[in-house]
Amino acid sequence: MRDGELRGGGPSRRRGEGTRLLLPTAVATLLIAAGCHKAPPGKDALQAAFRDDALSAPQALGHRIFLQRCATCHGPQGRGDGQNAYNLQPSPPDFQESLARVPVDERRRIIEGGTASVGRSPLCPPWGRSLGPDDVDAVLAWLDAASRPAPQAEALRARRR
Amino acid sequence: MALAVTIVWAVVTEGRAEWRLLQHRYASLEPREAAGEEGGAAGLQQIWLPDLDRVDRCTSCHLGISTPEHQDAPQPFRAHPGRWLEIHRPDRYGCTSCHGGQGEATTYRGAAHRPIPYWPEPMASRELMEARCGTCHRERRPKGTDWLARGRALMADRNCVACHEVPGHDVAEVRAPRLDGLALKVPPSWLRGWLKKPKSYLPKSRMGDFRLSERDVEALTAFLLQPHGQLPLDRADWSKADPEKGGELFRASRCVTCHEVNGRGGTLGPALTHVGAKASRDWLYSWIRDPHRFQPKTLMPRFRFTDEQARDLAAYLSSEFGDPPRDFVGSDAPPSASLAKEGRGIYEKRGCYSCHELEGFPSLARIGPKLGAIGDRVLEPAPLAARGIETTLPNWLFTKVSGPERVLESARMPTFGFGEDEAAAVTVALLSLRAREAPPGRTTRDPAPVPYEPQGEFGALVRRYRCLSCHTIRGSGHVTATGAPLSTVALDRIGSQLTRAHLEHFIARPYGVRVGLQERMPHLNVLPEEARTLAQYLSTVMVDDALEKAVPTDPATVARGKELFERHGCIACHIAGEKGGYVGPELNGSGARLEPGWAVAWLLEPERWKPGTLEPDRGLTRPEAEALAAYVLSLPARKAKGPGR
Repeated sequence: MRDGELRGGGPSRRRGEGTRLLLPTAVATLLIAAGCHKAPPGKDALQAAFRDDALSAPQALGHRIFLQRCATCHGPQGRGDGQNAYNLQPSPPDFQESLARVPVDERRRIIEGGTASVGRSPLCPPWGRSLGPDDVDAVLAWLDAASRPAPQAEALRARRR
Repeated sequence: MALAVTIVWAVVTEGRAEWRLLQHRYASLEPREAAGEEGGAAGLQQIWLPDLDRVDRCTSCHLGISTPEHQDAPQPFRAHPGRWLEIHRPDRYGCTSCHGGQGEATTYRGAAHRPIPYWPEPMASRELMEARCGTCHRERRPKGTDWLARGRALMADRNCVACHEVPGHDVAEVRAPRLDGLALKVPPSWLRGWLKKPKSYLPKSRMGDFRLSERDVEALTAFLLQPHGQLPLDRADWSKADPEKGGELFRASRCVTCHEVNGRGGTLGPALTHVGAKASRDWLYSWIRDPHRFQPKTLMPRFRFTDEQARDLAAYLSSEFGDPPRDFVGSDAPPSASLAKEGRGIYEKRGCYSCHELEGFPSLARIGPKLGAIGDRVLEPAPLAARGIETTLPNWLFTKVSGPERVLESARMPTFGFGEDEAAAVTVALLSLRAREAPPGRTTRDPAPVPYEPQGEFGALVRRYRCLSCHTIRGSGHVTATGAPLSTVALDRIGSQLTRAHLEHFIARPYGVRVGLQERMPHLNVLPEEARTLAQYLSTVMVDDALEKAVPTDPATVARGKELFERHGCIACHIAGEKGGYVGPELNGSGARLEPGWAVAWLLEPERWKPGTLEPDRGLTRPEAEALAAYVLSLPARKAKGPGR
């Protein structure tokens, strides 16, 4: 063993000649033994790629559905700025500002039965029959993330990372 | 004595087994319910599925998995989320068919809830479960999957099947330009730059980067620019060319529906942002006049342009898009002919002829390994360990798909330049290919394609104008990298949906029916008599008798329809009268466009006709749908509006 390799070895440098080889050997033995059960530590490259978008799986699905069915009026992030928004009176709300005031079961009622079902204008149609319960759940999951005010959403994203 | 000790030890350990303790805890969790259902400690549970080769004991601990009331119970007693167990009953599918893991185990660790290195079947993450869906669901786009469907579409788009045998993919799908006559099309500078790094010319290039050395690039350039199967180019009088007129034509014809320009436009054809640096003016002219002469399998229609129009268009493309991309480098010196033989060797070795046809070469190389059992591949850990990546098959495939050179420096496979999410999707699709396929009764597949080749005069027009590059008939038609055809309008029953007069008018002069739509039908300059032939065929053959129904048109019904129209807020998306939204088609004058029976059927079941449509299913009754259709079809056309672009 070359001298230089031991120099970086930490605590063993202060020990006597006899133990100079003993400790690294023991550590090596332990490492080899551990190696039988554990792979060399490494990152899970694929899982990292899956989780890149900082949304949970149901939220990501919900956002895809939202982009497909809702974004034309509500805008891609639910800020009420879709390309058709200016044709609508009342115009679609900014979810970041207003959605927190709407209880979750009312959100579900609106998605499934349209705004008319809660006594508001008929401009937002009922999606319950087209989407089915699982997709409505997913949209609700995304709305929950989208309705948080921006700083909170940022913090959430940071925590997930 | 030894026997006695063994027996005592066995009794004690068995009595204190993880699953037994959990069952006691479950019983104490909700004594009444658990006792009623499971009778206290229920004993070791087992689902045995001989045809799937599975023995799953997961329910010994996951005791509340089929009990919806336990949706908030602590693990491992929580109910299965969603409605998955309704369609995949545990007694028919077990647990590990979808989740992976070691079904026979009765401990948390033994079941491989977390990945254990080198363990062949660890439990799958939510995303990797899609690979397990794909083992039984062999359709190209299995319902409810995201990564899997995207991965399969990407594999088809990047021509994987040209080099590898891939179950569920067909060589007929391989799409790449044939290379005969390349010397008349591109200059050496372009070919050098392209071979060196295809993405430097075309950021969305479907061809991978073959990581060629300078010498390989020289040799291939020399070989490819030899005269192979040249077709003579048409000649134009360029002194009379008017690029400005060509530009007008470029916009009026809606070339951007398929071709991207400066980052905007479709992806069915190659981006044209720098096409002048690639293709010669004479070649562009000849190509626009008749693309099918050069590339019989191209998706591009043969527009009915006059020679002058084709010339002006080529002149516009050459001058407007003549600059090469900024970091695109390649010298313009003629390649050394002595290297051509070496280039031929590289062309063969890298399997270029798998995708590109060329005179004198067989059409398929299949130089890569078969992928039928890639999901069971045994891997060598060294390349991953060196990169600090956990040694698992998913990681190995992901690394290989991201860049084959990261796994083996001398790999012949090109680097496709997938984004991380794309590589992850392809990995999921690959992992779904298992050596042991599920038994036939357990698998679902796309219906076998019925080869559809339209005949006669109609067929000739469909081929000339390449209708099936965007539309489908009986499932035949080009599918884009998203896994869907470009146009959402299938032609199978178009004759029962649209009136014959409208079809004829629209084919001759297409305009934007759905105003928000990006991919509008190009102006093909179809001749009036051709439009008549097409419309006549479509409205007599492409019909669905079930839709041929009349709608009552009496004033009372129309009035009821008007009331429904207002109550349902249809105006949010459709223009009717002077007001309305820009989402669905304008409804003024729709009586001249829509067949009444279709309008009713559409309102009743929009999802049936076009899954994912923006028209919501409102659960209308038939009389309601009829009244609504009667009102909509009665709206007169607006005077000012002509067929725009």
